[in-house]
Amino acid sequence: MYSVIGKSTPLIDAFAKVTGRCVYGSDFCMDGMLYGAVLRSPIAHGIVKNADASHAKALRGVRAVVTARDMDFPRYSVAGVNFLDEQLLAADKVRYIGDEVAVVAADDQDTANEAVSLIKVEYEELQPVFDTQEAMAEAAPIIHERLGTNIANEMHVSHGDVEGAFAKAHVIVEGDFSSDRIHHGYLEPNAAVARWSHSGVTFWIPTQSPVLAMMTYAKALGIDRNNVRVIQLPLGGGFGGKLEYKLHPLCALLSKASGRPVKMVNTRQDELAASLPRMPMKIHMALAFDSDGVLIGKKTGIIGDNGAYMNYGIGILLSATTRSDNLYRVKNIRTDSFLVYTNQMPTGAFRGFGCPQSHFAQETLFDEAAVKLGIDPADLRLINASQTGDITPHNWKLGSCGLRECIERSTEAADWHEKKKLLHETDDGKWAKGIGIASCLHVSGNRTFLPFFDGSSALVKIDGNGKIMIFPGEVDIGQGSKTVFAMIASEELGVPISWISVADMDTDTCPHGLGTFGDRVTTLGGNAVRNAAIDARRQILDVAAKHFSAADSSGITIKNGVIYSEKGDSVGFADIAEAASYQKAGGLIVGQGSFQPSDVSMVDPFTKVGNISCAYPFVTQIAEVAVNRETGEIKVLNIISSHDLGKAINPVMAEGQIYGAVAMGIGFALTEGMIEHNGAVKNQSFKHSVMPRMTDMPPIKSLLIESNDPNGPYGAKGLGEPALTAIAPAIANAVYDAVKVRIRSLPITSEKLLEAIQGHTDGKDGE
Amino acid sequence: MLQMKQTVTICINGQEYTHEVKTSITLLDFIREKACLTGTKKGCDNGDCGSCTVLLDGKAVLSCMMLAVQADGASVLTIEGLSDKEGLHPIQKAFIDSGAIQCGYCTPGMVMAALALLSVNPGPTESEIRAAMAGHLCRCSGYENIVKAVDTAAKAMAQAVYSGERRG
Amino acid sequence: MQEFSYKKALSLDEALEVLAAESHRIIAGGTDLMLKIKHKTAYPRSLLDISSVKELRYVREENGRISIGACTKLSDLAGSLLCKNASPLIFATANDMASAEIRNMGTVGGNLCSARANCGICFLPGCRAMTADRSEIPCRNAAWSDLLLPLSAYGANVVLKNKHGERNVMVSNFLQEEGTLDLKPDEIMTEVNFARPREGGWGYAKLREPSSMGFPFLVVAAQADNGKFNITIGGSVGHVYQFKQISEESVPSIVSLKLKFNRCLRLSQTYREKTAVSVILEAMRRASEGCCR
Repeated sequence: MYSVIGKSTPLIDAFAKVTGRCVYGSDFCMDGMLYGAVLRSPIAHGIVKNADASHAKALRGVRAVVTARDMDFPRYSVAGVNFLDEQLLAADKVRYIGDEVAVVAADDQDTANEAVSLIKVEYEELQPVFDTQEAMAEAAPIIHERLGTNIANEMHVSHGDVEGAFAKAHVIVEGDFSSDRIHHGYLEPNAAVARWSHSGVTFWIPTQSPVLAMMTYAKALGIDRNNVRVIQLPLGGGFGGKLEYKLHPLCALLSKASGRPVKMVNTRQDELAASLPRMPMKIHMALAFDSDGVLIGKKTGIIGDNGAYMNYGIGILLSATTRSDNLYRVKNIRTDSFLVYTNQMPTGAFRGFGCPQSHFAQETLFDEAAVKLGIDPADLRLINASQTGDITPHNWKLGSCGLRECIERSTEAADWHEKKKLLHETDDGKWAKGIGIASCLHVSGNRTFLPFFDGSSALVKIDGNGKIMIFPGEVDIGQGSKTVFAMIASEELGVPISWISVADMDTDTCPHGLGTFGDRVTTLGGNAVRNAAIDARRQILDVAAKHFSAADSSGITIKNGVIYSEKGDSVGFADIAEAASYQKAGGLIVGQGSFQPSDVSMVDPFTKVGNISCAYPFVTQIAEVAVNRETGEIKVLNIISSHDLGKAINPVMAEGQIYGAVAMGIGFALTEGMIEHNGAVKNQSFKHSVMPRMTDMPPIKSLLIESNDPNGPYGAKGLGEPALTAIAPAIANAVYDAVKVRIRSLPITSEKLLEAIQGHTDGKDGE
Repeated sequence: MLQMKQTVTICINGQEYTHEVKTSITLLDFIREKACLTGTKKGCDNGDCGSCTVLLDGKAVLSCMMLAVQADGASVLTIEGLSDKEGLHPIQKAFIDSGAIQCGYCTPGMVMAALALLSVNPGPTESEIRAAMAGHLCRCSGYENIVKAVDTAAKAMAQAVYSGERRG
Repeated sequence: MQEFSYKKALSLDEALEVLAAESHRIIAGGTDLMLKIKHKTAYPRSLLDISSVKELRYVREENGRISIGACTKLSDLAGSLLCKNASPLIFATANDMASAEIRNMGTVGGNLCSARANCGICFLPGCRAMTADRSEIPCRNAAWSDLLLPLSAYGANVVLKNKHGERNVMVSNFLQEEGTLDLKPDEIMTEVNFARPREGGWGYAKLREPSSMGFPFLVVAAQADNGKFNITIGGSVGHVYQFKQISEESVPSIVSLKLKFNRCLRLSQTYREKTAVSVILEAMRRASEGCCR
């Protein structure tokens, strides 16, 4: 059906990456540049009384020092609704260990680091609060006085008659669930080069969204956004952690103060102590089922830990509050959610955006209900699964839904019933084995991420030699979007992929695109590129028609870079491109395309109802584990992962995303989490902040299920985020199947599990 | 008077680089900042992630955990030195073709580690590949296609040796 | 980064001369010292690099004794046939340590000499920067290096040389009660040696977290001996423990009465007490089956 779409294609930017010639944000250098360093608060909560930078300024090689005393910093927020809770440097208070207090630029990094240690800051320590529930209490120390409360936001969602449903339920399951701050784990630390000149500031940054960076940093610096240029450089991983980040505008500040370009790069400790990790959540959830296993009611309470500053906190809370409701056909829902400030690291966007936390609760409870009802957990999901054409209480319109197929294909591939028996039979007393299942969904683009618009645009430029350059509004963060865009353009234009390149973004030249988050790039960006390619093709064909002396271009086709008339005459694509260029006095063929998802809306500010995306991907994952009853150690033996992604445009990279997400999910389930004590992160290196390694990975079978979404390009929906979300509950459910204990706080460490196993075998309720 | 600086000469990818440097500069910083070869990465500067891996006199080492002065007079191979006039190394080709690259940041370290492995064990099993490269973190790929790429490269290199081509 | 002077020795005699004249911090592979320097828990003024002293790099057998030069790389041990056949515990340990790259750099001597001041909290060369909690004082009494365990199990001794002569110290005494090393400022460790161990009957088990490149919170070597076992226990414990002629039944009381667990970041003392019995019994089981690991 397609010549390119659906065929596994190597990355078009692989050559630069594999030869070490790709210049990432952290590699970028400029003549005359200085090196910057940050002074961070050593205390969790305090008033900044005094900052003496005189010794730092006197150090040889130091070219600029900026403290909060040196200027009036505008108040801004990355995505806050009403309350502007941030300033570039802590002017009045510091609110977490790591809060930026001063910055230094010097001739070399060692000098900058030494200068930072010479800045003397006097703090009046205030009582900090680290626990969200304590922060919500009446007597809690207030972190943002101007707000007057630590409750940054709250949401109350209600549909149907949830009390009625619970009153007549046959089975009710409920529990408390929690997870920690998790770092994204991108291998490349955050970095920036900034140059301030009379006309404004230019950033060279590895960013997931140049346009959002431009807008936010303009606010943070108190300048017009027309004077901000963001040049996006290749990223060494993002996963949500390379959206707006203070290091970048601080770098600009130093450039302004020193008159030189400045480079700043985070150390791994900066990342693990002062970045924007996953939001920890405490979730209380209850599910009510009738005797047939139909989910009739769902009650949820969520407390999200914002940390010291808001960032994308409201969006994350909204996602945790509403999304998992749409996985099953439940009508009676009540959710009360709170976003709470604490004196800890501010939290931010991270793959899944609230869904991994909410689904961990829901999918574990589904399993508990399956046990109580005596219904197989896979069957219980089939009974309740959302289906194509559904309109959920949140008004989500499921144009395509392959959830049932995901469940059926996963259980088939896992040999679900036989495998469970086999695993139980191989229990040797010390090692117990089990199998577990979980499902999830996600969005393909999120209308509520920002109020002003959602959508994507692209330009497809054909030059006089027939070479094609795509200017997308979205960023390739390693997921292979450049290759997907090239494939789309290749498909629509009929030319080989090797003729196509895709530009990185530059706010001076690229379309006003939102960037890479919310699983939006393939669906929204892909549609935009497709439309742009179609527009470019139309222009090419018009010129070809003239060449063939045809009445119009209707019968003309392009295949493999050759243009054919209806009669069978042919001419090279490059020749036509050249002709087209000459006709325009050397001009370019520029196809413009955009895509605005139709029938999507912001959520209602109170009810949170709204069809926020034009396409929703679904996932089901099955995990097999072995548990050592004597030590609580868990080994993941096997993963089956099925994804309704609408259409696999580039199967090898879709699978690559799945493998990576499974690894990240295993880490989330078993080993990852910031160990916090009195506001300090104790595990500040990869030695103690443990991500899965090559030797930790089980075999993974991935199944790509194509439900052909009507809104996606060639039917394609998002993939990258939901691939992570169901792993933790699948593993937790497998652990239950093995040793009949439930752990409801992540990560499931061997210590937590052993305690539960021993509590259980002592006759106590291990749950 | 303590001598805090020294003149260091390191042969990197067949070319000599001579600089007067602080004794405290790591081999990694020498490669990235003095020789201006940024293909070797600084992922953690703590010996944990493997992205700084280079071959020093043929052995894979973590350049962030060595002083440049320790490599004075030695021969270093970085990712930039792997491909030559004849094109990409079979390991590099295998990485591209097997979908083993996503963001690409871990790729140089992975490729150098694979090179080191295959130079002493030309036909590794899957578990030998994983054990040999366990020091390398990747957050994008789940490692699956990287393991496939190394296996593919091993077979291609064995085939090349068998048929008498270069780069066995 | 700190500033220091640097000198490279090409022979043992040269190194000893330098040390006799002035105190230097020895660097070989550097995988321990570099961490200490980066995280400011060591402030050397002058470094003496002995990594090129080729005469200290060997694994050999002579008159029924195995000798391993102190500058032998961990990767040399991990690939040594003699080591595999004669001292399977050392072979297993070397192959399990860290990563391939670190094994190419680290040395036997370096591993043993970094046993002092390993922080029981972060389980590494006392690095507060990696734990950030200023209320924690890095424990200086944890006695751990990976090779300490198998070498203690084999009853090895270390050879320490200075310009004037040499002396032998049992590995089990090399790390002293107070957490210091029995190593004078002008001395270099030149080798470890031990009588070729009895073949077969060795078992080795560990509790490592995480399982890949993780810290060996508890490591046990067991030797089957006439129906009972000689066991050597190390990890995040007070020191390397050795018990002779132990039965399986006595393991729980040994764990509860004799083992002192240091505080750790990731695994609590209670957990390690609970699981120690399982790990020790596993080592004994492997010793009985002769399957080592």
